[in-house]
Amino acid sequence: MIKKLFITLFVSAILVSCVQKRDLSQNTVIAHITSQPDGLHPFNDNSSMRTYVFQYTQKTLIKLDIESLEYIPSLVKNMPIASDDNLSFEYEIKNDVLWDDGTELNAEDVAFSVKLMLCPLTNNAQIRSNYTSVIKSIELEPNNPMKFTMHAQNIHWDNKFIFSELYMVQKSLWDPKGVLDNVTFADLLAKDFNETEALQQWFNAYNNADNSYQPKQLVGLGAYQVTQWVASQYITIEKKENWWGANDTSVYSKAYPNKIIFKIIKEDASSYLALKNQEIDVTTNIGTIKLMKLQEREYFNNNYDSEFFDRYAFSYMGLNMKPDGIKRKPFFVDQKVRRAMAYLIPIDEIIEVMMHGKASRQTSLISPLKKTYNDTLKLIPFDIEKAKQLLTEAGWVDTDGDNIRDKMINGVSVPFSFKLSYMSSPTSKEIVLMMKESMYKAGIVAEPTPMDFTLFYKNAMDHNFDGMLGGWGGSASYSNPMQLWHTSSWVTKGSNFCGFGDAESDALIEQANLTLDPEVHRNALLKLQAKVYEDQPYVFLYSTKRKFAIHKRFNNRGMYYERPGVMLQNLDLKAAFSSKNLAPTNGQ
Amino acid sequence: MFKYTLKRILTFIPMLIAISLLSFVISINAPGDPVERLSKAAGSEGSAEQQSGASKKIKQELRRKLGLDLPIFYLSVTDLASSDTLYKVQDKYHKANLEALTHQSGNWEAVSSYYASLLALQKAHQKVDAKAIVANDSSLSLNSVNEAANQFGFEIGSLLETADKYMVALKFEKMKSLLADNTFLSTLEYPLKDVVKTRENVLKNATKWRTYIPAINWYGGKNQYHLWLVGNGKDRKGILRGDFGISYIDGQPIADKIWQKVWISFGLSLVSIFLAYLISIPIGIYSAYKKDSIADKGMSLVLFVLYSMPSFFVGTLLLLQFANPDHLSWFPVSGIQDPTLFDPEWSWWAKLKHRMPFLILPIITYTYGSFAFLSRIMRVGMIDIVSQDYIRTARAKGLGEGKVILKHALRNSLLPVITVFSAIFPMAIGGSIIIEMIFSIPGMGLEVYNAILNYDYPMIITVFTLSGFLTMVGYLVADLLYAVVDPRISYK
Repeated sequence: MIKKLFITLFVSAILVSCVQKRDLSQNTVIAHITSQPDGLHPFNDNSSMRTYVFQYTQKTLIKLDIESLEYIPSLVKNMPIASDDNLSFEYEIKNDVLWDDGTELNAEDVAFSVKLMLCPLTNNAQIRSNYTSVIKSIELEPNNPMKFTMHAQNIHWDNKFIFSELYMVQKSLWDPKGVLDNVTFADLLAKDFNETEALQQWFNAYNNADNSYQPKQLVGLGAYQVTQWVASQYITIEKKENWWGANDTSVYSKAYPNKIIFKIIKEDASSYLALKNQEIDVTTNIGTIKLMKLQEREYFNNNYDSEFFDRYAFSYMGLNMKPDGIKRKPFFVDQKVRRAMAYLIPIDEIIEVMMHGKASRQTSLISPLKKTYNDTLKLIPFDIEKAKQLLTEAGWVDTDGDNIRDKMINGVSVPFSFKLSYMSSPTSKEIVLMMKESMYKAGIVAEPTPMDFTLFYKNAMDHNFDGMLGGWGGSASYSNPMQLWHTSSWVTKGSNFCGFGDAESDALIEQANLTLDPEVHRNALLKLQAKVYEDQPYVFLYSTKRKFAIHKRFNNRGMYYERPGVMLQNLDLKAAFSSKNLAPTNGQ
Repeated sequence: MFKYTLKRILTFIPMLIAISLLSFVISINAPGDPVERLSKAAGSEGSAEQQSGASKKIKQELRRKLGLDLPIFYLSVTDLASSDTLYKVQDKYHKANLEALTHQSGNWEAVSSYYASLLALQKAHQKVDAKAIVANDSSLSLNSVNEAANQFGFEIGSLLETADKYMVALKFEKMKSLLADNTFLSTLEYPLKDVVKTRENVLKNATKWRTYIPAINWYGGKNQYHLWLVGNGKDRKGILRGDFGISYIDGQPIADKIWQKVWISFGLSLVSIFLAYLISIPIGIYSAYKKDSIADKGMSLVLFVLYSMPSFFVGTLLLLQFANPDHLSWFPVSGIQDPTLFDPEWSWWAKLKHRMPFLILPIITYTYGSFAFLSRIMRVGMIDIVSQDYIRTARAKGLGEGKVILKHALRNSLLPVITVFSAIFPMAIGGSIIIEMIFSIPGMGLEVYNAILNYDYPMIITVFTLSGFLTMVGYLVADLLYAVVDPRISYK
């Protein structure tokens, strides 16, 4: 009796639970993300997911156009006019850019937003120095509330583009009592910034987590408004009614979908199934093998456009050019040895085997996708004989017949056996083993040394490594080589882990930065790339391609190099799809 | 029974204080630094210039904001040699080095002078202007000046983190030779001499005996534990008033973060345990009743095969079988609700009905592993009871087998099963990372994992403390259930 009851309950539960298929005629885009942003505060958080959502809910004065990869005006009428000394930039704000309460965006809002970015009391420690080193002050035009001038600290390439990631916030909404009116830019940039009681109280309220997480507080100038945030599950943004930019012709003012839902799925297998079941419309976060498997299915190709696209991030093997000689032996001090390492790594094979061909190579620090890429530099081919020759020329010879090269250093015979550190992961482990095998053929022993992120990073900063596998993110916007390639970044335990650089390369970096002339800037970067190529502090490995899938029920399924790689606001639901559900055909 | 329950609840208080203190001390002293993590924009090539001085200031500012610049507890037990102001040193690696040096020599004052002289040398080094030097002396190249200055600068940084006598001596030698070979670095000569002198002082005036004498340092109310416990009277109220603090990762109140997720973890645990018991107990009884029969052996085999399959494997397998248009597309793939349909204004019942399909596969994955050991425990307990005299008597009295087993034997064999039941409570706060990852369930497992990776101390301490509390509640419930099930057990 009990058994029968139990079976009945179980079967009814199953029947009740049968899943409802998604209604694909809805004008809703479901975009896949792998983790939720650490808040949607306009200043206080810094994840890439946040930027993805802000594409649709927030606006900046200028913007990087992901189609042309040039900066274009967004909330201003034109790109800024520089003064003769290139230290002052005049902007004029567009008319009729309205906040949600109907008031117009003006220069006071801009000044307020900049003050928030520069203030030490804002919780934006990670990015504040990017702005405090560029902006000196914002000067309002007394007779024109739509005009202002940005005064820069120095001549710097970033001066023209500094507003591209500074989101505008409404002064009358956040600071109606004008608490920040009493604080000047000089006060904010002073070494001993004075926190008054009133300011502290105001910032305690402004930095409150509600302003990062409560949908009602997440306001902005974008066409969409956050309406729901279900923690670790999804964020829903909905099109505003009577949005000020509805008649604007720019593609960034389009707002075809009524709703955009950012759905969080961490696990690759689950994302794969979600695509199969058409539970998501857009993804740039699916695994390579999974996408390749999906592309073998006819119904998937009927339902989705999918591609592998290049991007700006890259992986490298760093070689310690300046070891202390005590803890770390001088394996890679000689440029010939470093060049030999470049000949020894079977990068094309690694791309083929580990990335299934879905990665690209680059010769130096700048991605081939950028206009400043030095295309005269040739990729270093895999050539064990050439590597052997270089190693012999550098004095590394197998004198004791054990197939490992050695050299007399300070009277002691040192075998070429070095530690290759990397952050533990199954893929990295396989790659390191492929490298090890290849290096052994030339008489070099690489000892794989996996470690966790904290230790790896600490060792890198302390230059306590022989060789290391690392990677850097990137974007179409200018990446200041200061952090990675300037000699000061080696001394101060910054990101110049390998010790690259000399006066010449430092001068090139400074030249690229401290100019506004595109030709001077480009030439300096071309020469810097040539120098890095020659010196070989890194063996540049590969740049894995970004994986895209966009549902065919939308038009305008553009895919781009620059993250996020898609324009969700431009996805226009096809009329033909709005009246029927799609069903996958079975089997192939 | 009521008095007993009250007494047990009163013992929770000192236990909770002890657990919270232990978790506090462990997490603060664990390697890794949340400020390092928070003040880095990891992995990016960087845009505008970042000066090390500025970032040190930013880290100090962050430390102050998070209260990490205070001592850990009201008092610390060290030795006579150690300083009570060491907590004020901001850099974790410098602090560790100073501790090591003090432990070597036993003379904090000497070590402190040595540290101060190193910092002075570092300051002097920062004033070295390579371009000005080259401008004054055209025989020098900017390259060589920079190279020498950079090498020197790096050695200073390294010395600040090195306590090893041999390494320190080597570095002094290197710095002296750099100075000798490069006269343009003469401004660093006196500061370096000062460093060498203070170092010799550390070695000469070692008072190692002091390291063998314990000392207690009192810090008063201004410490991290007190801040956590009672707050600061401004933005933090302290745990005693229900303020678990703010997450270092995203600034959200810990209480909100936990509350959003704990109900799903607890719900899943509860349903899973309920189902596990519902299925395992009859299996256990049947296996005991038909001991060593083919049915018993067959069921044991199946259950142990299930037990041996890891949950990530089974979870993925279930998804690929039941949420896959190529096979059976019965259940959704991820999450606990459909974002296009779910309405937060729905009634409790409507929400549950909507969420049911999403929870079937995770519940199966959560539950199947428990069948084997629960049914084995039940079986063993039952076999033991069934062989007792009173069971033979009950049969002899003419009672039906069903009544003998289910009425007389079952209750007495529940004791081991109840013990296992007490484990359900802490599972609510722990969750299961694997299942939550595979099925995208917003539970506590992933939250705790994330907190550990990012050194989110407030979250770690709160979860640790709550976990301890729930374990105690679990034991209390188990003890009370023993008394309910077996009248021989009494707490009067």
